[in-house]
Amino acid sequence: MSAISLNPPASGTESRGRILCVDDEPNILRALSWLLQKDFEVVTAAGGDEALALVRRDDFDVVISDQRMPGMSGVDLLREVKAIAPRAMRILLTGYADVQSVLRSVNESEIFRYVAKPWSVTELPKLVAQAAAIARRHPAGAPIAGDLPAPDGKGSILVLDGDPATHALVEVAAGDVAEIVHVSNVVDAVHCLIDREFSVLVAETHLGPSIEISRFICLLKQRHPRLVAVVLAEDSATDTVARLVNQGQIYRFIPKPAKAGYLRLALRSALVKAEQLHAQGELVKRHAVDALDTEEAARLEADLALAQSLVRVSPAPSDAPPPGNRLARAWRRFFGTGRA
Amino acid sequence: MQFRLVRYVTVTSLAFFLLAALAMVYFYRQVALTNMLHLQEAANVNVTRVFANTLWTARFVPFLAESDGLSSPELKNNSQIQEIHRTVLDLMRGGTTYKVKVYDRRGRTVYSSELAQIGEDKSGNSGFQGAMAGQTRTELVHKEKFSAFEQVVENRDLIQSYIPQYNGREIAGVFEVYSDVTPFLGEIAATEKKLVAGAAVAFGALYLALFLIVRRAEGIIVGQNRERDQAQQQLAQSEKMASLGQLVAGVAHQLNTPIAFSLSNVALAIASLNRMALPLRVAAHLAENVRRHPGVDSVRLNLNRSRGLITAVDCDDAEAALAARMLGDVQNGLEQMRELVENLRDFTRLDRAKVVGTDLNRALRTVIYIAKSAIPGRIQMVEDFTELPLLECNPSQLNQVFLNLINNAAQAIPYEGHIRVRSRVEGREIRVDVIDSGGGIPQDVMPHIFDTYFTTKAAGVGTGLGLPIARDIVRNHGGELRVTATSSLGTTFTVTLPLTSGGEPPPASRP
Repeated sequence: MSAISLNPPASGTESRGRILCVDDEPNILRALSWLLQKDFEVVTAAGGDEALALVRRDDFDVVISDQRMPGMSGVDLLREVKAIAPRAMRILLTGYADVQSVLRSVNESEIFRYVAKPWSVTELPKLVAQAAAIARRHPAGAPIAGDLPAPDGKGSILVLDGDPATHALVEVAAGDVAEIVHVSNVVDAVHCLIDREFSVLVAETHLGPSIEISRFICLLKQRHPRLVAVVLAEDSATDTVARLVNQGQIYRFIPKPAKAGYLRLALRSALVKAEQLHAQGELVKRHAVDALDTEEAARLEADLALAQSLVRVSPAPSDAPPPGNRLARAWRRFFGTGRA
Repeated sequence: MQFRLVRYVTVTSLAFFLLAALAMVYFYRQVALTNMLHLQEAANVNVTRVFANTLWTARFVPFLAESDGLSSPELKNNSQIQEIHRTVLDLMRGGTTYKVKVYDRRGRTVYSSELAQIGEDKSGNSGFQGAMAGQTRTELVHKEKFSAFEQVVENRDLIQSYIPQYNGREIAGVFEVYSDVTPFLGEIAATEKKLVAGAAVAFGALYLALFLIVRRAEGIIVGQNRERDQAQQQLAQSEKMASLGQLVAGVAHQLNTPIAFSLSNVALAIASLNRMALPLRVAAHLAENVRRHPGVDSVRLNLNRSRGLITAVDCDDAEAALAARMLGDVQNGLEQMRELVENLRDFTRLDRAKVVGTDLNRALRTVIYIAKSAIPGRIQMVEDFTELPLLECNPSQLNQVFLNLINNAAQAIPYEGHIRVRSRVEGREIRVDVIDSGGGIPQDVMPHIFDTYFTTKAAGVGTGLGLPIARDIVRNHGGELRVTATSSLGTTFTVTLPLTSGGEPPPASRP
């Protein structure tokens, strides 16, 4: 084992956490150690296999991994870490990641943060401290995997999307296990969330070609920490997904077009997660989010206040079928929707 | 040379229209003449019948019987001739019949409206023989001079019919009747002229319409070609931009690593240096104090003034060494960046002449270095070089080719694998193999890999221009790019480049 502990755990109680850093670049590992060793006990590993051996043997509060490494990728490593040591908070530190691995980092590894290289010398220690504190105070719940316990049916899903096809798809995927409410605009969504509590939010990042609402999803998540967010979107740009992870702690990101079967699994898992969050309020803390940019947040809050003051755009949602009648759907199917 | 559609259609269609017009006129003439012959034959048969009815039993039967024994001169002077001749003239006056002759069964002319011909032997005449066989023979003849009743006519077209005359069941003699069809032929010629004029007008109109249609079509085709060329240029450009984008992304990633740790280390080193400022001040103060008192074993320190400072010194003796190590790593990082920039410069060769003597191994090393930054870490790059002589080439173009081949190879390897780049001299050629351990090229794809626009990637991802452009570049260097092996164990792309650039030098650049 070539793992080097630059800061021997002489005074374990004083250390604010045990951190495992994984990268194939020794220079990066040294820089991270030097940056973090003052406040934490830092252990490094040069690759996925070595890191897994360390995780099996020792207890870590935070695992920071690079994505691109020879052999096991960062996403795969963090997924394994999630299974072996669910208490450890997982951070992906990467200079470049393709869309696929970013999506997998959300859906499979359930990472806490996505940090871009080069990191900020002031922010990274703060983030690691926050993660370590959460890991110590709020151990993870039971892992949700394999055969899902059927959700008890008391769950509710709020679907926010401008495309009727998505509403129909969610109805097919989860209509039997949860109550589903359909809205197609932000104002209605805000009203619904004020009226009652929802377990799961299924949202698109774009409502129409010009309305981008990923920040709004983040804000909703800040206001309703127990809401489990599943983003079902066409635009899966790395930046958007990274923001949704860091500021929205979304539970799943599913790129469109989604298959009903896959969506069904994801929604069931989200409903179970919501039940878990409901039963163990503590767990919510494990999904603390980065605050939005102050100016941005203020503007969004103002918009939200405005939205609350507005009357609902559509009548009170019920179990009515998704908007758009058969003729309109046939029309769209024949001529296309004009959305690329 | 471009195919000139309008010229082609103009010339060929003109030829065919002329041919069609000629055929039409010829056909008309044939039909008209045949009709005329039939008509005139019928008319001649009628005339014969009139003669026969009027003259045969009354005059010719006894005359024939009598003439049998007469010699030709006797026949000419026979008294009955004058009588018959008068009757015949009466009958034919005002008609179109010019001449009537009667032969006996032996072929002797027993009567002719041209009296001088009486007694002539015509048994060898094919018309007569035909008539004797029972057929009516008719033909069109042209006579420069023709003696008709009472006059001599010139330059006439005549219909000549030989008509058998029966006596009971037996052929008793043959009538020969000439009738004038000169006016008919004149009519036919006039109609022919009208027909030619009509055909000229109709075909001319058709020809004009065809010309306009084809000219318009050619305009459209030329426009489409121009658009296609533009699209192709745009695609080639976007292919270049795509590979450039890939390159830039890879390079950005490669630069990012040293930047990341250098930034972090420099910030930490600065903080560390700031912490060292106070100890240094104290040390400097102490040193100054020692210098001021040379040759003494001890100096007095006024702790009243400096106690605060000295006790504030909280310095790990490893701090300076650590900062030095951090900065050492930064130096290392800068070295990495310098190497990258150097390779980039070698790769693009913007600062070099277009065609230069190049060590291909060095170029390949650069390409591999650049490619490594863009291809996944699970793929190992192996250099298998032997020493090569300098090659006169455009290195930046060949770099593009090798980068394209290595990128393709990387895309063919789904999991762990390796790409071997091998260089050899074979005879008067340099041979470079790019060998991957990927899944090989499927059989149905193989014939198309060098086709322009052929791609196995999703629309918008691949342009299908990478390999065609690469092959163009290699061929412009007088060499060849081909697949020398492909199986489920991998694929080998081979570039051969001739060492003797005896011919033209490779072109400087592509658009």
